[in-house]
Amino acid sequence: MNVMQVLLVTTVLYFLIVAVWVWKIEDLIEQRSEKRATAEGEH
Amino acid sequence: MPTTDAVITYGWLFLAFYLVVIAGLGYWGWKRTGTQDDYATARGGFGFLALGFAYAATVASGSTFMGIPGMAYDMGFKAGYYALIYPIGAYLGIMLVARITKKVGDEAGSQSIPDFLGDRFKSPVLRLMASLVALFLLFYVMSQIVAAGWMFDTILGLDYTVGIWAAAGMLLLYLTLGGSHADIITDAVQGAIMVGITILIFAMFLTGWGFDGGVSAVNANLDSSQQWDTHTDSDNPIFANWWVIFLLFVGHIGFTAQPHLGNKFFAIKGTQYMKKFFLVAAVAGMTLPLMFLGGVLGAAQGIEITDPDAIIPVLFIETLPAVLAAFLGVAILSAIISTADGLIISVAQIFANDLYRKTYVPWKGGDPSSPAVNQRALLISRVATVVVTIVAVAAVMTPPQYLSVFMWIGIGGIISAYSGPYFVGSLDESTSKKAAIIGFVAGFAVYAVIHLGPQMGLYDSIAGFSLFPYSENPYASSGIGFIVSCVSTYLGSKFTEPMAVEDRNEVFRGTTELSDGGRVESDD
Repeated sequence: MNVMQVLLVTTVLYFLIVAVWVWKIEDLIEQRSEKRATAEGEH
Repeated sequence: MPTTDAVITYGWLFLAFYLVVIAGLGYWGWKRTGTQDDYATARGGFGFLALGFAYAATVASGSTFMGIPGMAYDMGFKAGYYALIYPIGAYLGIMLVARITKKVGDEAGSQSIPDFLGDRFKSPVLRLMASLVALFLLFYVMSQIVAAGWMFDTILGLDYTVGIWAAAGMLLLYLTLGGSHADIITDAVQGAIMVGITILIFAMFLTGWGFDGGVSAVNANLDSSQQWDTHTDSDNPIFANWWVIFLLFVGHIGFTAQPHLGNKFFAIKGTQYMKKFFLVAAVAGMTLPLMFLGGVLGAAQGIEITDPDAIIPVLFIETLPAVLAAFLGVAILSAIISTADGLIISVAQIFANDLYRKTYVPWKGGDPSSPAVNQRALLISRVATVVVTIVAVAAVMTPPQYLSVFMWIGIGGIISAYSGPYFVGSLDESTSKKAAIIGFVAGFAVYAVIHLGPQMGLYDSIAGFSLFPYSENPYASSGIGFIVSCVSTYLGSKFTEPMAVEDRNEVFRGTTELSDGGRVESDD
C-alpha cells in the first residue's frame, strides 16, 4: 500500500466512527447521564 | 518572490473588501457584547453550522496552509501522515469532552478552559496552574503573526515589518469591539472559504495540475525519498517510525484541551445541537489538511523557494491567473488571522477572568459574580486584547530564536498537563481534585524532560538513553504527555478520596447563576 491508500483507509475508518458516534453513541451517553442524575437524586 | 504587479493590485482590492467585511462583523459582535461573559465566550450565541466551520478554521490554523504544505514540499507524501492523522485525533477528542464541557461550563459559568478545570474540580489551585501554562500561548500568537507578516510580503508586496503591524491592526479592528462573537463569526466565514480553497487544491492534485498523466505523474516527478511508497524515515524525527506516527494521533486527542478551542463549546446554543456541530466540524476539519497535497504538487513541479512554508501562495502565483492567485492569497491570510484571533481572546481571558475575576477577587474576599467585578473584567478583557496583540507583534519584529520552543511549551505543555484532568475528569465524575493535580504535574513534567530540556540545549540523552526522536518531535512528546497525564489522573483517583457526591451533583447536574446574573437551566 502507498501513503495515499493508507490515508484513504484511515479516513474511511474515521468517518465510520464519526457516523456511529453521531447516530448512536451520543444518545447512549445522554441516556446514561440522565439515569445517573435520577439515581443520585433518589439517593 | 515572483509576485507580479497584477497579483499585488488584485490582492489589495480583495484585502480592502475583506477589511470592510471584518469591520462589519466586528460591529455586529459589539452589538451582542454587553457583559464579560459575552466577550469571553459568546455563550449560547451560535448555531451548529457557523460554530462548526469556526471550530475547523481555528483548529486548522496558519500551519495547515503554510507549515503542513511546507512539510510536504520538503518530505513528500509522508507529510500526509501528519496532515490527515492529526485531525482524526483532534476530532475524536471533541467527541469525548465537548458535551460535558458545554453542560458543566454553562452551569458553572466557566469562561475559559483553565476556568472550567477550576470549576469542574472546585480547585482554585488547578485553575491558577492551568492559567500559568496557558500564558505560553502568547508564543503561539507570535507564530501566527509571523506567518501573517510573510503572507503580506508574498501576496501584497509589503515589507514583513509593516505586514505584522498591518495584521495587528486587522485583528484589533474587530476583536476589541466584538470579542468572542466577532472571533467566531469571522472564523466561520473564513472556515467556509478555506474549505473551498482546499477543494480547489485537491482537484489540482487529482488532475495532476501541470503534468500529463494525473496523480501518478505527480508521484513520478518527486525525489524517491518523497514518493508515496516511502512511509517512514529513521532520520526524520516526525516520521521516524510507526510508533511516533501513532503518538502524533494520540497527542492530538489532547489538542481539544487548547483554551482557544475548548472555549468554542460554550458558544453553541445548547447541547441538543452538539451532534450537528460535531458533524460539520469533523467533516470540514478533515477536509482542510488536504492542503498538504499542494506542497506535494509544488515539489513535483520543481518550484524553487527559500521558505517551504510559502509553497501554497507561490504555487498559486506561478500556476493560476493573477486575480485567482490574489484572492486565494488573501483568503490564506484570513485563515492565519482566524487562528490568531481566538488565541488572543484566550490569552486575554487568562488575565481578565482566570487571574483577576476568579483568582484575585475571591482571594481578596470579593464576589466574582458582582456587576462591578464583571464590568472591570470586561474592561480588562478589552485592554488585554490590545496589549497582548501589541506585545506579540513587537516581539516578532525580529523573530525570536526559540519561538517554536516557547510555542511548544504552550501547546505541548497544555496537552500534557490538561489531558488527565480534562479527559479523565470529564469521563469519570468521581475523579478527585488531588488526582487531577497529580495528572497535571506528571504529564507536564514528563513532556518537559523528554522534549523541552533537549530543545533548550540542556541535554540530549538520559542515563545513556538517547531522547531522539522525542527531543525533536513535539507531537510524539505531547502524545507521551497525554498518556502519562491520563494514566496518572486515573491511578491517582484510585488512591485518593473521590469527589463527594453532593459536589458532583452540584457540578454535573446543578443549576447556578451565571457571572452576568442570568441563570442557566440544565437542558436535559
